[in-house]
Parts: sequence; structure tokens; C-alpha cells
Amino acid sequence: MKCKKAKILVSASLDGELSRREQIALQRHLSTCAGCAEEKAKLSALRDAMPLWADEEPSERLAESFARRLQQLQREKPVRRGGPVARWLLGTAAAGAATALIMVGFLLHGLLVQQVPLPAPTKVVKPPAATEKSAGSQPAPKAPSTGVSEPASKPSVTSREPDRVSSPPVRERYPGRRYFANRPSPHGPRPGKLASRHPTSMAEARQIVAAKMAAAGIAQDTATTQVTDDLGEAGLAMNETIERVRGNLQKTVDLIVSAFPAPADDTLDSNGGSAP
Amino acid sequence: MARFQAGDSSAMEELFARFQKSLFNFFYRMVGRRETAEDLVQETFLKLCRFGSSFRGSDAKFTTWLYSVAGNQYRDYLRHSARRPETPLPDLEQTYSDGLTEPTPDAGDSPVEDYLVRMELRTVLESAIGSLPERERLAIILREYHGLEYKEIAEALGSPLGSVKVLIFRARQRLREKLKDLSADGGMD
Repeated sequence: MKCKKAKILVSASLDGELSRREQIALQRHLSTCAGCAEEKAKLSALRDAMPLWADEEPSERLAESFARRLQQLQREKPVRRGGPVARWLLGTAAAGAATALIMVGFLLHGLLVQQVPLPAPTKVVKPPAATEKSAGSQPAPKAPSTGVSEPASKPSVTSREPDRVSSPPVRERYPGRRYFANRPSPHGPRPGKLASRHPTSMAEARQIVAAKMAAAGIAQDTATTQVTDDLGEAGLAMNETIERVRGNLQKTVDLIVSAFPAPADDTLDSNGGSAP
Repeated sequence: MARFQAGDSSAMEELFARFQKSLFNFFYRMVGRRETAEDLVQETFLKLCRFGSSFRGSDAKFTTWLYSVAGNQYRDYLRHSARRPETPLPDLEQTYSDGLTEPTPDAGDSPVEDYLVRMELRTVLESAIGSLPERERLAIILREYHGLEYKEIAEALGSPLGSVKVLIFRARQRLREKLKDLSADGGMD
């Protein structure tokens, strides 16, 4: 060992900062080097002199002054819980989740909640004039394989007249539609009124889109059938996506919460030193 | 600190009561002026209030973190004041050329003389420590007067452990050179 390194180790040995191996190496060197042994004696004497500069007491005004400034700070900015990173992450996650849910909601409203024509009343007594008028009107396109019958003609004003409809109970006419079930119209169902449904399978989605196209007077050909299929797939994919987003958001929030636990306790001792 | 992080604002006042003295002496030894040291103590604790939530009790001791913040506060102070400690301690040679009797640890035969000798030794020691380079001064003060281990000093200074060993060794060598004329028994010369 060279004297330069030995002197550094001598200094560290005074603070008990040597490893066992370093202690042995230093002892071996000191036993053969008078200069380094003398260095150790000098540094020891210096260390004994250090406590001459004893601690002093701060003024009594210091605590009062700090208490005032602390109160002022708390008035300006209340103490918040959690770390800045945790707060940022949680805030961002919450804002992102809200935005994503709103966007998905709008998309679903537009794509999945298709308006489906309701079945026509079983018996509608129409005035002859109205029947003749409707007979001359444009026939509605047939909705293939929708399972929901489209009215044979565009509804006329007279077809909505009250007490001319002999219809089954509301729940039979509109199963699953609590809105209508709770609030049956005194005028009976309106043939042109459209109901909303959520598709749960590709076939059902295709039916809904086809019915919508039929209601809009769009002829069913190869191109539109493709569009129907595409829209149906998109609707189903969106359904799956929103469920996945919900699951991922929950996992993310759980991860963030578990990643920033509150510290169990501090490690202070009573005299300003550090606890072992 | 955990209580403060949990929203108990009175916990900071308790922390202040517990650590104000040690932090005051840290700054006093660094800047050499009581008023400035007390200002820096307050600024350091106010900084703890603002950024206390970043302290992770499981990763570091509070005292290590406290002196790390205090060291940054001292460096900020130096940057803003753009000067060395406000009361640079007198050079030893100048001290003795002014006619002071060279003090020795056992020079006094009476308690009064002994007290005066110790006071003069202390003045010289303050001067010697005040003349050290900043990082050496920080390291030796944290080691000798605040009892931090080398590893903790390395964290507070943001330096490798090996550098801390060298910093403390060099500080001691400089102090020994400054104080070598003070020792009557030859212990430091």
C-alpha cells in the first residue's frame, strides 16, 4: 500500500469507516511506515480539538418567526396529501378516463344505438281518404331479414288518430322498452316511431343496420351489404373496446394507488441525529 | 414527517423544534453569521413544507434528506449573495501578528486562563474551518459536528463514497496545517 492511500485510510479509520480488509492492510502498512503512523497521531490530535467549536443556541425569536411564516404559507397554499407525481398521475388518469368514456359514449350512441322501426299496429282503421293517399305514396323499401316489420306505407297524419288502434298490451308490443311500458301512449304506437336497441351479435347488428338503411330508402346491393357488415362489425368491436377500456382504467387506478402508499413512519430520533 | 405528509401541519412545527438547533449550527458554521444562519434555517424548513411530500421515509433517513436540502439551500444562498461567508474568519498568521499570545491547550494555570485559551483556540478553529473549500467544509462539518456517516454524507452531497473519504482527509490535512502552530505538545505539527 502506498502512503498516499494509507493516509486517506488513516483519516477514515478515525471515523470507523474502514472495512475489515482495509483495517488489516492499514495496520500492516503502519507497522512498517513511521511517517503514516505519525500522520495518524496528528489527525487524532486534530479530531480531539474539533469539539472546541461547540454548538450554540439559536435565538428564541427563531421559532416564533418560523411559526408566523408557516401560517402564512399554509394560508397561501394548503398542505396537500400525496406526492406531486402521484397527484399528477391520478389527475391525468381521471381526466383521461372521463374523456375516453365521454368519447366512447358518443361513438356508441351513434353506432350502436341504432334506431329500429317498430312493428306496425296489428289493426289500424284508417279513413278511406287516408288509405288512398297512402296507397299512392312511395312504398317503403323492405327490410330484409330484420325480423322487424316496416310499415307498409309512410304514416299519414290520419293514421295517428286516437281510439282507432286495436293493439296488444304495451309490454307485448315493445318488450324491453320500459320507457313505453311505463308511459303508454293514449294514441297507440306510431308506425314511424323508431326504437333503440343494442346489438349483441353480428347477425343482430347486421339486421339493425339493414333496417336503418331500409328505413332511409337505401337499396340493398352488394356494396351496401358490405357497408352493413362493416358497420355491424364496428359496432361489436366498439362494444368490446369499451369493456376493455373500463377494465384497463380500473387496473391503472389500482396500480397507481398501490404504487404510492403512505410512508409507515419517519426515522427520526430525539436529538436531531438519525435513527439506526 | 409521515404525519406532515398525512396532512398534519402541526407536525412541521414539531420537526422544527427538534432540528432547529442542529440546523442552525450547521448554517452558522457554514456562513459564520447568526442572522443569516437563522434565515437559512427558516428557508430550509419552508422548503420542506413545500416539497415534503417528495420525502420517501423508506428510502432515506430524514436527517440525511434534511442536510441534503440544507446543503442545496446553502448553495442557493451562495449563488444569490455571490460571495463567500459574510464574516470571513481571520487568517491565522494575521491573528498572531496582531500580538495575540500563541495559545496552547495547557497554557492556563487557572480556570480563567484555561477558558481564555480555549476561547482563542476555538476562534482559530472557526477561522481554519471557514477557510476550507466549500465541499470540504460541508463534508467535515457534517462528519464532525452532525455525526453523519460517510454514506449519508455522500447522499447529502451527491458525491460517490470514495470522494467523501478524500474530501474529509483533505479537509483534515488543511486544518492540521492551519493549526500546527497551536499545538504545544507537538500533536498537530
